Amino acid sequence: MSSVDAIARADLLVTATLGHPPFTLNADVRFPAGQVVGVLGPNGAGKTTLLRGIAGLAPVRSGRIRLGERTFDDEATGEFVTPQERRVGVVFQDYRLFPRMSVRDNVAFGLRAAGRPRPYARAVADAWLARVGLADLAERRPGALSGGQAQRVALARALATDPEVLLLDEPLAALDAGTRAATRSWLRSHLAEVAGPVVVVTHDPLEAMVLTDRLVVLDAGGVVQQGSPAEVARRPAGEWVATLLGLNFYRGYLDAATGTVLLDGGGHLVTSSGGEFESRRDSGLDAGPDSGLVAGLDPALRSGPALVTLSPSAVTVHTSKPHDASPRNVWPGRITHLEALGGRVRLDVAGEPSALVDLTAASVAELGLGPGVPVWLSAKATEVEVYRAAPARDVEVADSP
Amino acid sequence: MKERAHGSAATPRPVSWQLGAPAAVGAAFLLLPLLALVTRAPWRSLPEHLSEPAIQTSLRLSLVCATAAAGTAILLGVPLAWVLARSRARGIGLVRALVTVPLVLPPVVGGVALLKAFGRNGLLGRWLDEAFGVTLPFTTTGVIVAETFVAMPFLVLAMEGAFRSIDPGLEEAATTLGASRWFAFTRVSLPSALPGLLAGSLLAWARALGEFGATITFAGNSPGRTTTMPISVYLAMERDPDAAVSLALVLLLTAVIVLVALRGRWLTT
Repeated sequence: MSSVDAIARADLLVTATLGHPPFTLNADVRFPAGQVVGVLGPNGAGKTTLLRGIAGLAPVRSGRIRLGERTFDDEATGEFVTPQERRVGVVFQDYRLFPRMSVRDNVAFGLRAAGRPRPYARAVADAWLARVGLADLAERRPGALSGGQAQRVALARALATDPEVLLLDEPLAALDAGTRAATRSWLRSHLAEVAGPVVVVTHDPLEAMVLTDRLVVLDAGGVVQQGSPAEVARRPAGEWVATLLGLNFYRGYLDAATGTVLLDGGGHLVTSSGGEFESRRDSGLDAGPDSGLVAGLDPALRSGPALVTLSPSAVTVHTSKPHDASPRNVWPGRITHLEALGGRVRLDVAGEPSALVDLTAASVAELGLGPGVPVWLSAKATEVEVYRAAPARDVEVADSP
Repeated sequence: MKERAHGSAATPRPVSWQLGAPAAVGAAFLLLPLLALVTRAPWRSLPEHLSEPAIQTSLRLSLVCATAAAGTAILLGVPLAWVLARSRARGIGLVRALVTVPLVLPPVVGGVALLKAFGRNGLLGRWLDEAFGVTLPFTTTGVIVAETFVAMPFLVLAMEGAFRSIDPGLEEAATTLGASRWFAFTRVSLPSALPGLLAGSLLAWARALGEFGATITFAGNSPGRTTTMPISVYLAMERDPDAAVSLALVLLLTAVIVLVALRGRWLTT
């Protein structure tokens, strides 16, 4: 039993190039046992390639994949463990339930394949179906299930083989919006129980934030960021994540002496934020005599290329130039687009810089805002988040257990 | 007005005469001979013809050989169809083309080719004869070989289509659950291809039952051993045309039964 536990606690290490040109992925990622790691990226970023490599459905181009001390795939030595022998459970995006078998036989399939007697396999399958709340559907064919039910069967089928690694490919993508919310929280609790590494591939940041303990962001065939969901949400390493999170995201050049970022797309933003800014100011520390930094600005930030995020809800809209001096950033713009988002209205304002702004529907009506209306925008310097584009490795080392 | 509610696509439209006339002639051309066979059949002497011992033997031989040929085609053709459907090896397209040659080859040519391969002096036949004392031409086994040669491509084509329509992802899913390739094939792929297997087998069986040219060339005409129904029909035409019509009716009936059995597959519009 102890040896089984030891195996189940092994970390998964991927240090490899996967896929076929031009769609290759360079990955150097550790997936710790007992953690749910989200692999987030736009379509074509290499998410499924990574998943297929781990499952053994496609060999690595170079490098290797290891689970603890076991080598799954090593291009240099030619070692390759077949998917059949890997004990990597996969929940496919389209579930891939066997259409000509009952739900029970689907879940029992892995145990039957391992040579277990049918009555035993069926008993285990029934236990799993009970666990995922589908005991009364055991006799059905997969075609008679709803998307949410099929998803649960697919998970039960993968877990019934007692896998050492569990992979989920876009687990919620095929579900309708109503089922998605319920399944998300249900999945969250079930994934937390898995002893080995769990990898959830997704292109939906919300899904990634909710389901996972850690995020690996892929883009353009490489890992662009790794970290906790909160970290990634606060300081996204690229437009893609920032846009999907609904953040204003800019690239520019930070002048550390003034705390001003000259934005690549025109305009500038003044910041006074920084990771430890608040506490440092409160404790009376300043940045040091020769650092050339604005007091309060993160001393790690020196002049140079920088990334900037600004939450749409942190931007204020005025119909005339505000004379109140408190916000450090004030600039003119013109509304190009309005969109209702739940209880809020999101404005698309063209200017230097262009920005997304969230307002209540009441404010929009009160200010008489509409497409083409000229406005003034303002944002507090403390709301302007400035950071350097950190290489992915640095973040990973900081976050490794 | 009702039709309009269902959309114009569903509204039946009259066929123009330029298409309708040749279509009618074509249909008549195909159906008239069958109609002639039925109307001109000597219905009264039919039982007498069919109860003739030689015909009974021939009928039994035909059924046995066609069934054996269909069985052989399944045993060899299903794996072949699988490989054609799944392999990405170089030259697999050429193999596919060659495998379907018997479909377009005149059966007599097939018979001659079989003689050159399995005859006593044939490529493989010589070795079979010397090593095992096995002779295929002009034997009942030879009939089965000839029928299999002609019928197997039908099964291979039907099965390849069936295998291709199965999501390869299902097999992948099976292997991630620890299934060997064989286990995945027998438990997942083959059951999914079952309708294709049934259709392909029936088609191959019907083709084997009606096989004439390759059979008479390779297996000859030896009553009780190689004289199958189509050969009996041909021989009877010279001796007793009425008997030939009776025998032909039996084969026609068989063809109709096979068509009805396959109606879910080909007779649906």
